[in-house]
Amino acid sequence: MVVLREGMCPGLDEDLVRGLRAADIKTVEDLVSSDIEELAQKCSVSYKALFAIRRVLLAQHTAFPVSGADLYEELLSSTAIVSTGNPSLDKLLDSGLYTGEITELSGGPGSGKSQVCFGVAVHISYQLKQSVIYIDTTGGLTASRLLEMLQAETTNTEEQMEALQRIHIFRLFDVFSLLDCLHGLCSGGLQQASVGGGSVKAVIVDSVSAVISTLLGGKQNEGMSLMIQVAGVLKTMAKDFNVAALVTNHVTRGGSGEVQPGLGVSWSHIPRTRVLLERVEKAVAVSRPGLRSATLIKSSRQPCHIKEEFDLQWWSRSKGGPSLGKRKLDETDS
Amino acid sequence: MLGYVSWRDVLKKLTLAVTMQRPVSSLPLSPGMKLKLVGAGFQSTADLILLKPLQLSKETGLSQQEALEVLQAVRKDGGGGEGSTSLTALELLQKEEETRSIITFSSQLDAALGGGLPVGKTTEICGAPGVGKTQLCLQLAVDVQVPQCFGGVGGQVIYIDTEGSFLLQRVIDVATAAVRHCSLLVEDDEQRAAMMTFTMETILSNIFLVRCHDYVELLAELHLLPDFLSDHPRTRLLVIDSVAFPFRRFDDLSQRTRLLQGLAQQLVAMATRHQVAVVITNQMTTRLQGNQSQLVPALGEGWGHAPTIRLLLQWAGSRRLASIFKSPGNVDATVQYRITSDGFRDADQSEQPQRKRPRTQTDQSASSQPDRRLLRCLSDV
Amino acid sequence: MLRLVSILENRLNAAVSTSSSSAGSDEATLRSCLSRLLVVHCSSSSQLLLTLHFLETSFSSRPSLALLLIDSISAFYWLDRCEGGASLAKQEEKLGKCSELLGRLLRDYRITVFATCHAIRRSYSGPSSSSSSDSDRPYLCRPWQRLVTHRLLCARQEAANNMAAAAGSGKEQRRRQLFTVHCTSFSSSSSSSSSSSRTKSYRSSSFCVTDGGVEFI
Repeated sequence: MVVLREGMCPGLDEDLVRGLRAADIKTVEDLVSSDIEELAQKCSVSYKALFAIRRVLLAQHTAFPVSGADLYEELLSSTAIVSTGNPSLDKLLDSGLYTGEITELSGGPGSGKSQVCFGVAVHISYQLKQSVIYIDTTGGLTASRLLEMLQAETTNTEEQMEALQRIHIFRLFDVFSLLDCLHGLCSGGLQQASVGGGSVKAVIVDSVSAVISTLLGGKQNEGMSLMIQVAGVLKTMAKDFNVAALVTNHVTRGGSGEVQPGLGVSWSHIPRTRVLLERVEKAVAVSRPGLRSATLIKSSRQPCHIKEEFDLQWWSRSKGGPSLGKRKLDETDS
Repeated sequence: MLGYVSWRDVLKKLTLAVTMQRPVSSLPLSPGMKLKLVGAGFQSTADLILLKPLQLSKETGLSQQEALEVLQAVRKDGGGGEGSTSLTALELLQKEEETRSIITFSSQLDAALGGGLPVGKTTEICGAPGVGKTQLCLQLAVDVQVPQCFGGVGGQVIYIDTEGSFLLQRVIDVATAAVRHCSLLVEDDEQRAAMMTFTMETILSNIFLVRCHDYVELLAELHLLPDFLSDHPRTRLLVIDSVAFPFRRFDDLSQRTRLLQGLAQQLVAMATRHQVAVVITNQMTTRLQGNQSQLVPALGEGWGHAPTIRLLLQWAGSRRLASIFKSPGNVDATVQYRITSDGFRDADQSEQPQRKRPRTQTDQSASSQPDRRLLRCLSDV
Repeated sequence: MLRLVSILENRLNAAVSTSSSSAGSDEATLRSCLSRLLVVHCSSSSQLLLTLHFLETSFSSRPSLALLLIDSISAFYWLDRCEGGASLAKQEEKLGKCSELLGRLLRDYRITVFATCHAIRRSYSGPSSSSSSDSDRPYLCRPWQRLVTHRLLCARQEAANNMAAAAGSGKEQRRRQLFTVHCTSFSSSSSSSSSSSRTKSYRSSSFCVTDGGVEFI
């Protein structure tokens, strides 16, 4: 509830605030929902003045309706689809990550979530020449791995250094720092990061469950509230600044033993698209240790449960083509 | 009526103005304080930023101290805009190239790990009892102290023992072997001077041993560690042997998961902020899937996300194998090792298993690999 | 929004192909349809309340406004619960006020309100409660529950029964995911003294999601 304070709008001085409080009107909502004529009489102010104050306060605090046609126009011009760099994954995601939305990758330990995030970051910074913000909460990010992936794309050191400079890394380990960081990005951080390189096209949070799952459970509500706040800031950031948000999540075992993404039912409504990654247990996986299978479990554009197999080593393949890359890996080091 | 373009600008400006304020519930304060703030009508930090502590405590009913705390939290955020500093990947790469890894004295394992155990990351070692986890930990506690001119890290170590498996005599044996090994490699004056400081006595004095008997003591110790690490900036290794033991008999599994995840985040934060390698040992447990049973690391699947690198030590007949099954920088690999009286070493050359999985693609930059002289001689030991 | 537009285009094309007369350029009809839609984005429950007040003037000035869609009404549930602290009354205060305002708008302006509500899993009450009954129980505040006259419960149908159908079809046909919806309608009796005199009636249906939106079977 927003409390009425003097100076909030022209015409709202201390006497009036005191008068309104005496009439049991303490917050903006109270003022807006009360009868103005009656109130004007009680506080001995003119009806017109009070009505004008009400209108200004309402205008300050409401969200404005936008016509569907205008909204559609704006979305057409501002929404972009950011490719992940891996064609099978792009096919699963309906050609890539959409800006203005949150996409979630979940999987057990070792299923390759961080690798996919690295690959996406490298692809955006090198191929698309745009900036990426990478928020690492697990300590799993090594810049040498990013360099390795870049070296598979190009041998030019200058270009590698430039691409590395377009990836901005934040390392935080608890939820309040995460909220600090996200709010900071919204209020100017993203513009700062865009200086020099291209504009920020993606914000990757790896992983969001590491900081939030410690707060859930038990009897306290604060954990759920903080989770919803993180979701809210991410969504606002994605929408207002036209970035694609990619988050990773862990998995838990459901009642009947099947694997499902963590953080509970309340979180499951938040990402627009959800993908579950798993290791592949077939015999062919022995020769291709980077093989993973991705299942689409929630999407507003594709039918669910379609599976795709993709190779994690796609992002570190050499320029000669995929088969050549595979042969190079089989050679032992001298 | 406002025209189309200006209406959109006004809308954008208003949305930006709203998003620039932080709601009070996102500040790092206790729930009770936040309740009082919200109850008094303060919705966002913009409301609080111009107030004085006395005013705030009068309006909300908080004590002076609490009001001061609130205003500090608000100003700290409003000052910089960004709570934490960011680095570009290039700067991180330069930082990484300057940090060295802790060698394990087994050249194959070091090669598979890309130079050794990385400083600043958490590594988990799991295995059945008797396979050599504590041996590896003791070896690492000695290895971290190898002086920098020999290719080591030259740091101190905190050893948290929860099982009571720390054997002083064993450490003495491993330390003596390491000192003997390094003195054979001395080539110039700098190394000779370093050998003065690398003796068995100094090695033992640089190991800080803590004994924890249950999980409460463990959590309390970890809570006090950041201050200890700030006071002893030369610490480069933290060993917890083992983390599974105090958490074995827990009635409330969901509480155990929460505590473990909180512990994991604390460890990662310490590793990154103080540049310490964190090594944790874990036990194995049996998981039943239908009719089949499988040996998996204990503490559940949720714990598996926490360490950055996971090593599995296991028996294959009479041979001991070490496998890396989670590592963001390297491909999974398996090597063979053995435990000798001198500590953790490579297996004999003749007993090498056929490598089924490809070797890692190690980055060829010189500083990420340990001193080559040290490595070449190790295979002779 | 983009999905909304694609569904709209689909339906317009279907309508144009069935009707004999051509209805002018597609862009123009799309635009005119979209101009009848107003989209508002709220970020907190107090903002929702104030926006509803603001919209009251829109309702009175545009009598053709007949439908109010809220997606979703439970979005701020956890935020309100945490802000309210220990007292249930404070937790439910804002949503209660919104519900009262909506009730007034319903009566005064003859609009229809359609709101979505996320299912949540409550803390485990015991080993006997099964997961299916958890999601059925309404958890929002009492004023809102009194306002609701029809409650639609959507669930995903397990894919077991359409496996047999899919086996016979060719590879090109996509496996359709079926959803079921249970509708519980409350019709309140005239006497307002007893709150338990609401009669309930049930209906069930299934639908699947296609390019042209939701298709009932």
